[in-house]
Amino acid sequence: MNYFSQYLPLADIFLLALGFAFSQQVVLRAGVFSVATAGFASLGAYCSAILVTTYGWPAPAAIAASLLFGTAAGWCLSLPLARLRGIYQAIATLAFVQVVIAVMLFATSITGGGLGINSIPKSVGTGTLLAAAIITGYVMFAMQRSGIGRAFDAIQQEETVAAVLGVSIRRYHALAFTISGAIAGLFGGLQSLNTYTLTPSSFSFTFVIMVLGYIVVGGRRSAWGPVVGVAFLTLLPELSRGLAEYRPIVTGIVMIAVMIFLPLGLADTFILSLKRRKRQGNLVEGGTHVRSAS
Amino acid sequence: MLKVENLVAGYSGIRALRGVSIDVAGGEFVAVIGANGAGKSTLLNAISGIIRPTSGTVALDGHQLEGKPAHVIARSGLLQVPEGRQILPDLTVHENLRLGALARHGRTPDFDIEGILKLFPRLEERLKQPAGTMSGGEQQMLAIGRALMGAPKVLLLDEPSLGLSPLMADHVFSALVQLHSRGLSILLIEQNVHRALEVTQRGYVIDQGQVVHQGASADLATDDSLIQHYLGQEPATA
Amino acid sequence: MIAQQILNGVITGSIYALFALGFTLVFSVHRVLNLAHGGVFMVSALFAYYLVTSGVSIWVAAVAAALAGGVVSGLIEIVALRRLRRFPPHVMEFAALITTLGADIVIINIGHKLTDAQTVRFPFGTFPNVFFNLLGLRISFLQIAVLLTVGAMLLFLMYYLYRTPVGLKLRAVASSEKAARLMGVNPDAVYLQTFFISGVMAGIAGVLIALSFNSISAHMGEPYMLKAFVIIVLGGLGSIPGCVMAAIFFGVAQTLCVVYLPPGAPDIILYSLLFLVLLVKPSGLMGSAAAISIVGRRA
Ligand SMILES: Nc1ncnc2c1ncn2[C@@H]1O[C@H](COP(=O)(O)OP(=O)(O)O)[C@@H](O)[C@H]1O
Ligand SMILES: [Mg+2]
Repeated sequence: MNYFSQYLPLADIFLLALGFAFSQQVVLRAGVFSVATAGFASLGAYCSAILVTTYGWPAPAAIAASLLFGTAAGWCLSLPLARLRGIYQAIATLAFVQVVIAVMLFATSITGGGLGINSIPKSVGTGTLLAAAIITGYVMFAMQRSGIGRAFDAIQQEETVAAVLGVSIRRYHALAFTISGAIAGLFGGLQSLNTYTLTPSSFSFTFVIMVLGYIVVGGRRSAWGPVVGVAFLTLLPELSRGLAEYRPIVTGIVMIAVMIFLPLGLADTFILSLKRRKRQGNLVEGGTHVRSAS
Repeated sequence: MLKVENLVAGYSGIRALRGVSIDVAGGEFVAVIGANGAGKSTLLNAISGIIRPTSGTVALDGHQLEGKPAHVIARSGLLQVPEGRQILPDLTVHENLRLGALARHGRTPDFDIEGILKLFPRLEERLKQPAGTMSGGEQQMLAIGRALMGAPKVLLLDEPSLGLSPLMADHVFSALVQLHSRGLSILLIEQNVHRALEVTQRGYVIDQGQVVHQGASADLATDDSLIQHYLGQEPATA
Repeated sequence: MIAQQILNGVITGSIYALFALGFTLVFSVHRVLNLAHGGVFMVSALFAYYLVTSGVSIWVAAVAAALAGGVVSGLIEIVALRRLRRFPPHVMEFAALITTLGADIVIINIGHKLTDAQTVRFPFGTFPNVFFNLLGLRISFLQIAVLLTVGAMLLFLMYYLYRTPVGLKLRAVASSEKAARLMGVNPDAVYLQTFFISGVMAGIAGVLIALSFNSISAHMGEPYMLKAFVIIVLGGLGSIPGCVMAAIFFGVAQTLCVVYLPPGAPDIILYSLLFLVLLVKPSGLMGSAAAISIVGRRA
């Protein structure tokens, strides 16, 4: 029992990071280069924190409101952004993140400005976070196997082909933005009710980088990607004390190395090699199922 | 002059070239013909170093070139006019030509800009305009001119008549004939079989990444069954 | 009063231009947003600081720091980008953002360790602290140096790109790497040169900006990176004169906003403007006619 409780805060960090990583993965998976997760998370976090501290809402209602707020923000953002591409999308969503930060700093009477909101009652524990992460993960897995997952794949690989196949790219991009907003809003709300304090800088450029890092390291495609990425980037350096101090440097090096040597990310590369091996096995057995794995 | 032996190359998994041997003697004009997808462009790109051959040799004047990077091969005098011309659309015609001169690497060129303009007078009035604003035929002339600026030992051309009007194609072919008569060695890839065999001395037919026939162009041109079989084209009537 | 504010804005804008020029150069040749540009900028400022505190004159230190910026930037190209060029363009675009971000994190955190997370300052009197009065406007020697440097950099870049054989190669690679290779141009060398020049520019910017605010810290590049995004978009992605115009416009707009609007509001307005420009006119407010190359990958 003791052994586990000692690692509880770490478990919280892991689970929150996992949620944000799922939010980031959904968009990348659909070929949308959005970094808006930080903005959605910030909106969700402030939503819950304000509702709880100023208006005395109960935690579950506040978190539900965060989820809705994130969803709405994702959907709204998708309207103009689904037609941009690549670098333009990245810069536009970064501008969105900056606008959110600036607004939080500006609206001092509501958000507390640069000092943020403090002494938020802690009403979300590890159990709640775990439940939220498992549900989100389950939704991601289910989506992976549904038509949505296949449509995302098609878009990510070749937009023109996807268009010819009748996949409406804009609709799926909008869907990806909306889901990403929902997940980030939810976990933003959970985070603010888990960690006592909230400032605009909680969801700044550093956050954007970390969340991107999770997906790059883990993988963009499989629902295991965020799990592996978050585990790799948060747990490993924490557990190995000596490394903790150099954690950011290690993160940077890992990001470069993974992109160069395993551009698909750890989880996706592993899964692909498993499939390859299976396919080869099938080939040896007689080749009747050669295509089943692809 | 150019000697290619048993060249094998491909794209992740696909073997597009399965042991091709061809050679071009000094001052010779040689055609490589074949249907769409036969591996002609792959052959040129493997010679030029744009893709790395998996095995085989490429020698120019006895110097081994296979496996060297494309820019080194270009500087050694093997200059390709690529499929689709690949002129630099944002640069002016003059700048495109100057760029060609960068490949000279100490060789004295037969052509300077004046010479190119004599060969392709149409380029003269376009000299200061962005190359991308010219017609396809003019762009092809520019692409050839640009390669000539680099003092080629062997000029490699990938379907220079592709997408050109018959009149423009005539211009291009007659320019090639003129270059040949001045002693330039040329390797011409074409799908326009009849025209290619008219102007060249020898020809190779490739199919599915292999040389299936070779001989004097005049003989190949009269071999109707060959042309029909490998190239799917109607034999020339007349 | 307003004239003085506009002058201050022009100088702030020139400072942004110093930073953004090298960033734009790399983008226009590579189509890569080098997110480590801010890191290079910081390294140079820090390097100049160490040289100055160990007794080297600021002028020598500035030259050495600029070269150091070039070398670090070249290393980034070799380590973080060279191997990515085997990927297709849309994969490369994404991968390059991640690897340069990784490089930036590494550089910043090394700086963090070196400075012990402190802000360091040049000793008093490192740069002559002289002011001039021109037509009732007040301008410092350092500010004049900033303006002149921006002008010189712009002229140098335009001359280099449009009047030298190396610039021709560079524009050729920017336009079509394959065609350039077939003409005997070594793209690796071109990319390395581009990064070196970009790094030298970041280095000069780092020293001048560190002097201007007399403060050097590991994270000093970050705010400039964010502004560089705004500038590169406003100026038309890849346009070098557009970048300078956009930077100065941005500097003036920001200065006026800060003076006449409540704190916090300027950022909201400027980033909203960036957002809107991307939606309405992704080719930039300054037009893209001067872009050195328009590779067919627009929005
Ligand atoms: N970039 C590429 N990637 C994969 N396969 C290719 C590529 N380019 C050509 N191929 C394949 O290689 C074969 C030969 O193509 P190519 O050399 O272009 O033929 P040709 O020039 O004779 O029309 C074709 O089957 C083609 O599909
Ligand atoms: Mg071809």
